[in-house]
Amino acid sequence: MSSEPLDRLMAEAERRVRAERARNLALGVVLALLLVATYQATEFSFGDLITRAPNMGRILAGFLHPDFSLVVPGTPGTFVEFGFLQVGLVPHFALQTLAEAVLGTAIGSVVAIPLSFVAAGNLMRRNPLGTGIYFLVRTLMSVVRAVPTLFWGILFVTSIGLGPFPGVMAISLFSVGLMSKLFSEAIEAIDWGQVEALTATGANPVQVLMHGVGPQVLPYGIAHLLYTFEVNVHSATIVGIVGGGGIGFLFLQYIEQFQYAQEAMVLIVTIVMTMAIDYSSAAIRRRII
Amino acid sequence: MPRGQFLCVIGPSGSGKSTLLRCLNRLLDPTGGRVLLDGQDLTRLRGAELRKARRRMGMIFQQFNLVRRSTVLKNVLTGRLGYQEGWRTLLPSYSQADKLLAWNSLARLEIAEKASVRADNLSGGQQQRVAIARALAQQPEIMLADEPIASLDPETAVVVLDYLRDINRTDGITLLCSIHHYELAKRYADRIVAMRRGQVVYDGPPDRLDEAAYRTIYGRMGYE
Repeated sequence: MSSEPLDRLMAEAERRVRAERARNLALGVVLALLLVATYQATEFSFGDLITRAPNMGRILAGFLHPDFSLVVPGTPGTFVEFGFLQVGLVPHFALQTLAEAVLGTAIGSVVAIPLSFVAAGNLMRRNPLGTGIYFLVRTLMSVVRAVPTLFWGILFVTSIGLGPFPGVMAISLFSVGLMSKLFSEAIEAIDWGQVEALTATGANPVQVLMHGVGPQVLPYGIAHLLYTFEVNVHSATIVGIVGGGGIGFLFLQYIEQFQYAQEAMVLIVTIVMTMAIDYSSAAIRRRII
Repeated sequence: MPRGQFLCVIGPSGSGKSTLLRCLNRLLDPTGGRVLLDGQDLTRLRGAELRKARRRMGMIFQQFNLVRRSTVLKNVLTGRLGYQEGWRTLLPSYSQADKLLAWNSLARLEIAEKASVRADNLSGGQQQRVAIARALAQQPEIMLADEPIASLDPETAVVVLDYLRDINRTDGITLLCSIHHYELAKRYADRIVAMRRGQVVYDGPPDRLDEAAYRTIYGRMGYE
């Protein structure tokens, strides 16, 4: 072992480490400056947090006594028929939210599944026509995703009118954007060797898709579907605030009328519903993959 | 097993070679029996004492198990982690002596010029040499090599085994190597232990392994 070239190598490695450190330090300084800028741009103010504390305290105090009559069916004036069920007012709107999320996810997936095959680079970018379609669909989906669900909600509420239906439309549209991205990425991550093996048996492209691609992507597809559903439950809660029906509508009403006890009940139901769905959905997803 | 021996464990897949090796440094806990190192029962050790015992045994893996996103040098330096104590273990840095040792290990495996390269940019043979350098930087008394050549092409395999033999002969490091390749095991080992279905079916010098013994190990006729 000659130590002269080793010394040279060691010195060079040391230089690299120092250069890396200098770069990281510079990055740290830039990041710090950026944070200061955002602090100013957002008018962040610890002072306001302190002077407005009594306000927040008042709302919180109102929240201490949630109005449980809103969830009990049969309390005069607060129960609603939901299909053949008789439920309390808040559960009625919660179920409406849930229904929006389920239907939105279903409609979204029906559109997204075929689109995702067309948006998968490994399947499409094999000739100029395929590449063209691929880029077209990808761009379209990016545009759909770039518009927030709440914007879609406002657009549909203004064109269709108030209620859960425009909410479903907004959620469906956003789901198409999200699912086509997740699904197509799952397709792009498949093991191509399995596709080759089926092609080598003399199978036609549809058969290869059915027997070679399908089994590989199915578990991920279901997992992504469930994940989208979780996201959609959140979205369905929010679209109510812009007139899209569901529990968000109630949330806005109560806060505008300073009915904190009722608002607290809405909050409790929302939290319980969302957590129950997130947990069960995540548990199923873990089992699939 | 005496110090300084080059021992190869052979046997068909699933016969228990890897399990045996992993029980020695307690990556697995044996369901029964004892592992004695200088009269100390390793199966009873826990915590700091276990780590100190592990420090004495370097390990090499079939899939190299380098930290793929770290540089070669950083990988070899991890061989020194078992020696860090107290507050030092919380720092991501190594002493000058550790660095020197890592560099010498890299030079020993003739791969020092790749020190600043990310581990996943190397070929399989190069990665295994880095892995051996990592084990060497540990200054072990024993090296456990779990199928070190099973993921390598035949020429690279011989190169890697030559390095292991050199480390065994020059540094007196005891080598315990599980290996699929019957002929190579016979060529490199001082002693061969053959396993079949979790049992030792042969234990002796390589030259007494004949076709009859081969048949009892692999349960069929002829060499590979």
